[in-house]
Amino acid sequence: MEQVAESAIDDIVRGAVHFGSGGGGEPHLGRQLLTAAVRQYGPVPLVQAGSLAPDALVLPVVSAGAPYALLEKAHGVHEAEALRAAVEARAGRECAAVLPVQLGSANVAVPLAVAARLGLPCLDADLMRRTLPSIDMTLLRLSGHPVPPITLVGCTGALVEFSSGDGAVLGELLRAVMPGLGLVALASAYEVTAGACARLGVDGSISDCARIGAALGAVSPGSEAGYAPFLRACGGRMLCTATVAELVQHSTDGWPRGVVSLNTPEGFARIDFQNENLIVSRSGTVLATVPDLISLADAETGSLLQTTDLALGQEVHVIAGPVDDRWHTPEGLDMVGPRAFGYAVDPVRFDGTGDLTAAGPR
Amino acid sequence: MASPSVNLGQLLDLGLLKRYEVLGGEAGLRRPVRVVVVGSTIHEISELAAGSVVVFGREQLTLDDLAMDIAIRLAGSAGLSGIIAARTPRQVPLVTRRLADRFALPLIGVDDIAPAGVVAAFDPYVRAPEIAGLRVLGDAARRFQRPPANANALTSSLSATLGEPVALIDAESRFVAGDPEVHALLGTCPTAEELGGPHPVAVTVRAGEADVLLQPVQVDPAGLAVYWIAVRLPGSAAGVLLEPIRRAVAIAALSFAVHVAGDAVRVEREHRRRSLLLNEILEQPDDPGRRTVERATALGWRLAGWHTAVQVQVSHAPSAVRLSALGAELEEQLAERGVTVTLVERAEGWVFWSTAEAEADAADPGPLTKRVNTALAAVEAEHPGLRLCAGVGGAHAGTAGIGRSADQARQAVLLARTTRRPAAVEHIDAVSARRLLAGWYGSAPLRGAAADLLAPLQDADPSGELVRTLRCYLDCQSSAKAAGDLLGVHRNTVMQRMDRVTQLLPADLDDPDDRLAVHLAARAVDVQWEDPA
Repeated sequence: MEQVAESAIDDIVRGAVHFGSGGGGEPHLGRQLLTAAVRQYGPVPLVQAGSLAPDALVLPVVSAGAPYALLEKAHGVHEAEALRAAVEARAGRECAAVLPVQLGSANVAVPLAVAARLGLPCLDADLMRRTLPSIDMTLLRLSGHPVPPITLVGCTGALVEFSSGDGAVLGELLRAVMPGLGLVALASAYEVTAGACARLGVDGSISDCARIGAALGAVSPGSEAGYAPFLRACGGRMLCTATVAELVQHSTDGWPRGVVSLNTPEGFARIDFQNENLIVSRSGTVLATVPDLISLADAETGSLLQTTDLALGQEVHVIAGPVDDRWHTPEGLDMVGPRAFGYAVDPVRFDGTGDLTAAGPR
Repeated sequence: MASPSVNLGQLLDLGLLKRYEVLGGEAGLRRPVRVVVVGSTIHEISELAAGSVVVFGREQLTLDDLAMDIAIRLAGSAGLSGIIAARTPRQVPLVTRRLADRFALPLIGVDDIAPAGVVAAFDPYVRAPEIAGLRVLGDAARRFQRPPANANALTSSLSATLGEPVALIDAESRFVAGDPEVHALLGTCPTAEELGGPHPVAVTVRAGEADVLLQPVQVDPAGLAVYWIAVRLPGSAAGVLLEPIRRAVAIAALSFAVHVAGDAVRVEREHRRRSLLLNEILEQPDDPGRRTVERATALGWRLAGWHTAVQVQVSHAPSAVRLSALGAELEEQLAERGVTVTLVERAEGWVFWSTAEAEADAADPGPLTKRVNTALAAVEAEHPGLRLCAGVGGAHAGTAGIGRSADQARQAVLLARTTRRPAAVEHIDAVSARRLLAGWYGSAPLRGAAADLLAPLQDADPSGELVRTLRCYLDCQSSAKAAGDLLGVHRNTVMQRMDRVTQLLPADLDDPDDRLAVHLAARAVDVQWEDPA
């Protein structure tokens, strides 16, 4: 895939929902945002990290904040330019391309739109290979790369910079400043070059979204068999078909958390979520956990759903899919395994197998 | 070994956990509990013995946690009898509750939990369920060491001992004290005959959704039950836990019987004292001794002034009514109507009098008669089948006036008895002609002659229909139509009966003397006379 033209937007955004694992934002907004940018500035060129000069500076971009707030106050041109200016001023050189930090319907669309506005190409890559709730949960950091400097540009023009600090601490600080910035900010982190990206081996993210999105479009809802094209494309499997029996939500600690109770023919199933779906279990047996992807598809339309949008009585398919293998290493699981989210359960992969690495002595 | 065991439902019913909620797995509340343990991790659940109840503190496991689902599954497979854990402000997911239902594993949510405390509280009852009974029995023995002061004290104490609602009902299934809902629950379940029958014994009756234990209160161990104690039994009151409740209630019943008996003795003694005093006053009306006056004054009796005496009698009483208690009831009812008096028990019933400063105040007996009438009616309404009547004497002055008015009241009550109305009250002055009759009715030999006169009718018709028809016919000035209307029969029926009466009677109804004698006899004949002699 060489560029993102208007015709490709539907597939890319639809496919990105799969990497949202039940979170990542409502796809309609991302689609509108990106379509507007492409119409105004033309198609966004996609480049592979290896095709740029190894020491070329790239601009990692992520939309920080609540997706519903983004719906009210989308990022403007000025924020993209302010972010670029801040990053370039600190590095003392120009950015060669935009780098998406994570995959998700909003966070694929926003970096592409930013690239369009800035007239930069976008790397066909990302740093998480899925949506995760914190900017420090990246494969880049897993490989030892420091998170700071972090730059935030709020919708009011305020600019915040954390030039150093531990990744986890910075994650907390970021969330702390978000309300002051208006809950919406364009963010960048990691001083990273095209060469570092190439070494990390995270190419093909946007293309994957497009491919999976096209497969999702080919799904014929009505039967589980109709999902074969999608399951083939994402390598996942359908765990069960269920009716939504209850949705308990609470956000006492600032994170949208909750439990979905699903009525399945084999008994009640449960999805524990914090932004994203983290664990699916049935009758006290864990079926799949983070870091693998857990999605819910509307049985009527075949489209993937945001967990917080579920309605009682809605019929859904529960689909689990694999994620980058590096997340399944002990270090990866320490960062984004179920225990990292406060669940005292061992990780289970989308296909029901355990993580051997996790079962050993820790 | 088939040792007695408790289940979690019973343990919860003991009230050892202050605020708890059964979140799921209710079907398992009847599983026997072998041991209660503190839980540390969910993975050790599989190693616990079947029949265990595991208690988790807030730090170990909370109810909305995913790990709770795993704990329920493990506990279900290991045959545990329940999980007790801390509630959080967050909702317990439906899936968790349904999972507990599926395994019939009771899931109990508690607000504030110290697992070791819960284990310590439950442990004795699990190891030796009889202990739960001993606690109840010990408590009952302590509380009912002294008889309760009244019915309310009984019901509240017993309810506190058992932790269950308690009501006290009388032998006619009327609510007396305690929790009205328990009484309502009983409905018509035990009939008045069952409660009032001989040889009362404790029974358990099924009333709606609950079992109700009924324990008789007997003052005389061989006699009837004067009251019944009704206790709604908790669902857990079965097996080893039921017997102690039965015994505790029996202790309470015994203790209350002592109170009732003591009360009766006190009332009896009081009545006796009043009765003796009145006799003294009546015997020496002109010169009551100083001591007599003092005692009368102490009782609130006034010897000076204008006295109007009232005599009350029982015309008919069903066996269940305790006559000794009626005096007090009458006093209460009169007091409610502004007539504050002390009733004095006499051989023919009760006497009391009201006193006015001046003759004019005492002259009009209307208001008093009315009050006595409604008071009698109120007491009758309390005891189905009971018939009371009263006579009111004229107003007379001074100490001697008490006796004079009382004599008139006694004559008036004879009149009242002949009227056969409920709560009949007659005043001696109301119709002077009645005084004539009162004298006649008061004569036993004349009443004997009257009975002889009507004997053929009684023999021919023991039901009394003929005598009633005769009386009514004569009361209606020999009008068959009017008598028929009163009796609710056709005039031809009255005529037929009168033909029969005429044939049977040894008297000629066309003769004015005979007719008067027959009329008097007919009015006097059915009354149960109690001669002072």
